[in-house]
Amino acid sequence: MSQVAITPGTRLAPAASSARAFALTALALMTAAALLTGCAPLGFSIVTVFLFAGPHNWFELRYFLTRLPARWGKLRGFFLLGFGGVVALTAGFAALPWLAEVAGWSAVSWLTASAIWNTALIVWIAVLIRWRSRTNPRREWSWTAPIACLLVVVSWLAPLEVSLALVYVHPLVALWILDREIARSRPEWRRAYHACLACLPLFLGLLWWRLADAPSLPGQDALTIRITNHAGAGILQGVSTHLLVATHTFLEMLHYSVWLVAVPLVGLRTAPWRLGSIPMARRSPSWRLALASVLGLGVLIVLALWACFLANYPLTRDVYFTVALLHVLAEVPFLLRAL
Amino acid sequence: MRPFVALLALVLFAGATVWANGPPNQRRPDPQPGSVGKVEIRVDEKADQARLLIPRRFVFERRADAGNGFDDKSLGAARPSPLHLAVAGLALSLALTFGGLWLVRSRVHLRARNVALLLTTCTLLALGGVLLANGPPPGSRVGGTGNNTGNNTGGFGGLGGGQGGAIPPQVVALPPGILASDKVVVEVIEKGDAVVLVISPAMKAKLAEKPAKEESKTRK
Repeated sequence: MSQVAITPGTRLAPAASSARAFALTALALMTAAALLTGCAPLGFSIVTVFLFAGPHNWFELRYFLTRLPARWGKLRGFFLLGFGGVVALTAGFAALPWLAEVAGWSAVSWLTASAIWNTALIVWIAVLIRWRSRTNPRREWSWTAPIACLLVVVSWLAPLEVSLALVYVHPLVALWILDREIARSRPEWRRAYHACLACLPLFLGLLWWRLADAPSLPGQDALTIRITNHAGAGILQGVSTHLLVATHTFLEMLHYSVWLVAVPLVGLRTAPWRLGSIPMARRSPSWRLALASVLGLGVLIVLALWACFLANYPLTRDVYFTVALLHVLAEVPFLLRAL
Repeated sequence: MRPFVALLALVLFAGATVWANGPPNQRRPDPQPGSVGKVEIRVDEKADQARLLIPRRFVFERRADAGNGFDDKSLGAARPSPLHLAVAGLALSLALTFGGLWLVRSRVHLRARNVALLLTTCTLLALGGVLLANGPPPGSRVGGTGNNTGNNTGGFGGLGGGQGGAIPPQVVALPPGILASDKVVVEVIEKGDAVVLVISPAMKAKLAEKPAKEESKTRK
């Protein structure tokens, strides 16, 4: 009898304490990120992108490999459409400035091209959603079709604003993926995690309240203009660039934290270089070797990215944020599979 | 549920009414300081008129930094073309069609409150459309001429009319002793780290005269 009474207690106590530790760590991280982005948005943005841009992409790749089934079977079409869309949309996005230069586009032509790209992205996601809803576990997601059409409306009326929304929404997708991972692997943490998520609007509200009237960032050098433009200074005219860069950097920092700390802790639960947790690695030794090579190449790219950042930070940042669309889009099919 | 629907209806209706004839967003962007660089004044005995030499990197710096060949501000000021509005209208029609299909096919029972909510929303959308019909086009930063006779090139129907007042141009006053003349030749040069104002000795003498006269006036 006494054993029955003690056993649940001894099981629950570590779970509760670990959930508390997780929540406290997350809140401490959010507080530190909000303070640093509020005080020194430019410096913090430069340092975080330099340090974490490459590694967090590597960890995302590692996570995707873990969640990719060994044999695609009936999901073959879904994954082919997913990966094909990722590559095609990224290539199209990277080609837009070049096409504008070659064809001598006017501002309206550029808006049209942006609207077409946004529409392609929305249609791609809508088709993936439909495909996913018809595979097990089946979902009733037909309500997403009218919403996708409404998003197309917005993307043609305000194409630049929709592109900017992607910049700000993308860090939040990582939080959604983390929620699914916690529900799957650490359900006892979910309540604490939701409490942390509820604090996110508070942190954003505090940032906006403190920085709403802050003067815009003073620098007019190439790097400052790149960072402020990336945060939407050219589109949201009249809004303090200090506020924009701080908000964007704060969300980016959360995104990096999720992929570098939380997802490996919750989702991988093993050393990232151990290939045993990757289903495809169990197919054959040659597959194992191929996956090891891909991850090894990823490490080399991370090192090369750091070297390029040291050599020419502004140019590397530009190139990185164009190519980084790959990982932004790659999150979509994996999130849909997790829902 | 009913109070919620009523409150929603009230908020939507009040919002549409309040914003119906509102002026476009006229918030002026903060003045941005220009590119930082030196300014030199050179006296050239051969110069018959003033010349302002601006290195190319100062002129095209922002455009090059934008990365896409466009200044984001000029893109932001561009208005959607009729093509944009047509595609948006088509997508809106599809949204309504798919929404209706979903509603018909879904197994959710249409209870009285759902029907009321649906009808209220549709009515408000229709009312909002009527009320906003003569508003400024979406995304317009600067208003037209301040009356309803503004240009109508930006869209279909009543979307092109100007409701907001034009922002008056800023008058910049030069400090005393500096002469503003329209006889300045502006040249963009390929190399250089400074903006150079080339003037003739006569102009220099004039510039030197002015402060001397100002000083003598203040002494008196």
